[in-house]
Amino acid sequence: MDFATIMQYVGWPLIKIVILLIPVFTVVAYMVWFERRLLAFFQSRLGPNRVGPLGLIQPIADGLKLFLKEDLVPLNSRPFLFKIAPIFAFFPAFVGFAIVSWALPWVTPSGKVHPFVVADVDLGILFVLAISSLSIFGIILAGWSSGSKYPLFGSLRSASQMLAYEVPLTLSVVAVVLLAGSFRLSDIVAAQQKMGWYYLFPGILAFGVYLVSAVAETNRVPFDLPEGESEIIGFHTEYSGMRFAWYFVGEYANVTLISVLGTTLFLGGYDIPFVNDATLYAAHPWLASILGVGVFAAKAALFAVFFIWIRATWPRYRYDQLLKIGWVVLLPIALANLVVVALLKLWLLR
Amino acid sequence: MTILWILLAAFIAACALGVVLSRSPITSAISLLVGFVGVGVLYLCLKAEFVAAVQVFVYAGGIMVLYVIGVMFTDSEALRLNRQTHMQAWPAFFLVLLLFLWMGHKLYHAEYKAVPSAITIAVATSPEDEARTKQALEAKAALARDTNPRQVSVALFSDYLYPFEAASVLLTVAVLGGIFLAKKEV
Amino acid sequence: MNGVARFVKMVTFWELLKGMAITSRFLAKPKVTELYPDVRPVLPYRTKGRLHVEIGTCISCRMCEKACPEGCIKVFQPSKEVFKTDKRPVEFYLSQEHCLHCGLCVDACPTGSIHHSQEFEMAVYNPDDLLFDKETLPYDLDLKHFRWNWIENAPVKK
Repeated sequence: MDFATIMQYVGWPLIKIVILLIPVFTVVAYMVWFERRLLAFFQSRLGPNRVGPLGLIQPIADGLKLFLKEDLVPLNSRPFLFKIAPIFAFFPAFVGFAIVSWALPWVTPSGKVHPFVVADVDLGILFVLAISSLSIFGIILAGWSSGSKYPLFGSLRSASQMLAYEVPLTLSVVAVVLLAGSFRLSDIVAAQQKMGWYYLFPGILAFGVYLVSAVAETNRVPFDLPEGESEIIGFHTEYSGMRFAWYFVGEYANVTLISVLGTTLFLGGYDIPFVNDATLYAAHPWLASILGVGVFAAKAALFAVFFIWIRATWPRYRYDQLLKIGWVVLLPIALANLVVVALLKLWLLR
Repeated sequence: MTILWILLAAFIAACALGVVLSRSPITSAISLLVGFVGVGVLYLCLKAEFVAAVQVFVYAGGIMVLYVIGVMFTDSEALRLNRQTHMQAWPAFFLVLLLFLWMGHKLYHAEYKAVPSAITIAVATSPEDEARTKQALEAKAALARDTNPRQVSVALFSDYLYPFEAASVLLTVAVLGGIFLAKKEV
Repeated sequence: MNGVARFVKMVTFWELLKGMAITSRFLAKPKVTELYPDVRPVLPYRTKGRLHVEIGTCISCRMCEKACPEGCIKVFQPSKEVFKTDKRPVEFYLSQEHCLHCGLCVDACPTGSIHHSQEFEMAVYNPDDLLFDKETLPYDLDLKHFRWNWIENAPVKK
């Protein structure tokens, strides 16, 4: 094996991963700050504004505090499972970012193509779904290995919640895949650009189902029964310090990932609205790519604002209502929508 | 590639042994989970990405969750003291051995279609041979068009339609049976 | 018609959207948070802050000492000879550590020498610092801008 081969298969992907992970970690950390500030503004408060200008150093202070806290392992627990469980919650959320296509590829003057994606695999969205289905183990193992009955019940609740909402989420994604004819995220964006419409409009039902089940999948208000920050005891009752922080970071990474995926699937990803991307790209490839990333981030931020907005507004659902919405309301809607989208694809949007 | 395969196979076999030999049900369940993921990686090595994703999605992410929930609510201390094997072990062993031999025989005599890989295409695209280059580029384009999910769906809905439908009917029957058993008043 | 309206409301999530509209209105409203150490709070007129004794007008009658339910005030009268001419206490101890801020001493005082001030930041590193004596008790009322309203026991702007 020569140097070029090693660089192609190991070096460049690693560099890409690092380049991707630094902004992703920053965004995830600042999601916490952004949520706290915005939530406070919704409630006529100001939120954390003391640590640094506008409170911008708050996430670092929080992280430092959690790092320095004692890492408690309960006597009654299964130490090995207890210790590895947060990894299951933490890692699937970050792996998903690998396949997200952030902008149109950048072509150097010498003709080399640098796509703005770590791994543009055939599977695309299916890969994310497969990996994120593993994150449920982080919750189950945490609840079981804590050796206490409250986390166990909490984990059981959240496991059935996540199972219930994974199905409509997948079905709503399948509707988009049907429309685009590919699992690959760059293909999905390209198909939307070619059609001239974002899939928000032909797939409005799928979009609704996606939004609701995305909120439920990330365990956020109004479906935050697994955590119930204010009163319910959840699966991470026994966790403290950095292990608890991993769940926290995992949740916010999930929110970011779900926003990014929703943007790609329904809002046209890096497509700049009201501008013919192809001509812009032909004229100024650099500008098109940078603008694409910016537009992508702005659209994803819309999702994040929506998530925080509903957290500021709606009360929590009761547990039976939650499962009823998942199985009785969302699942039939998603299935019916699949049929409608298939017919649309067959007759109108060939 | 062979080394990787042997390592993976050994890993999966170890996981399978862990499932069978472990006294604690939760350890069995976790080794089964890791084994499923290992099989998924094996599919990835065989360039069957779609099957790999479905393996992880359905088995590791779906079925194992139900298993683990079931295991969590059993009294593991009582199970630990139970005898784990019984008199059917030896007949079962011979049956499995027979199955294994039969499968090995079938696999050994099976015929495989060659799939043009990226490396053969790269070798073929040499500037000397124009015709071969053109042919290779065409093959590459066909490969790009023919994505993995498409291959699977074409196979599923053409050659293997009958087993596919039979399996779906079987699953529907199983689901209905499950509902009938679980629900007291129908 | 009613049924149709209800159906439309259900399909468009009317109630949920209404809630979101209400919360969004709060986004632009002025915030109620007080930026305390940077912006000093305007305390109510009759805030019962730290006790303040005007040693100059005190007649060492020990009424406050008797009135205090916690026994946190200790007044030392001067000797008989001195008392004829100068009634000011020799020493006046006030343990703010035990003080309830109940105001009974303020009511008991015949000359109105003891009263609550607007001072409220009383956190100290050492509990001994909460024991005030004659030297540390006086509360520096800004006499240029305020005068003391003896009836209401509160500072008034001049």
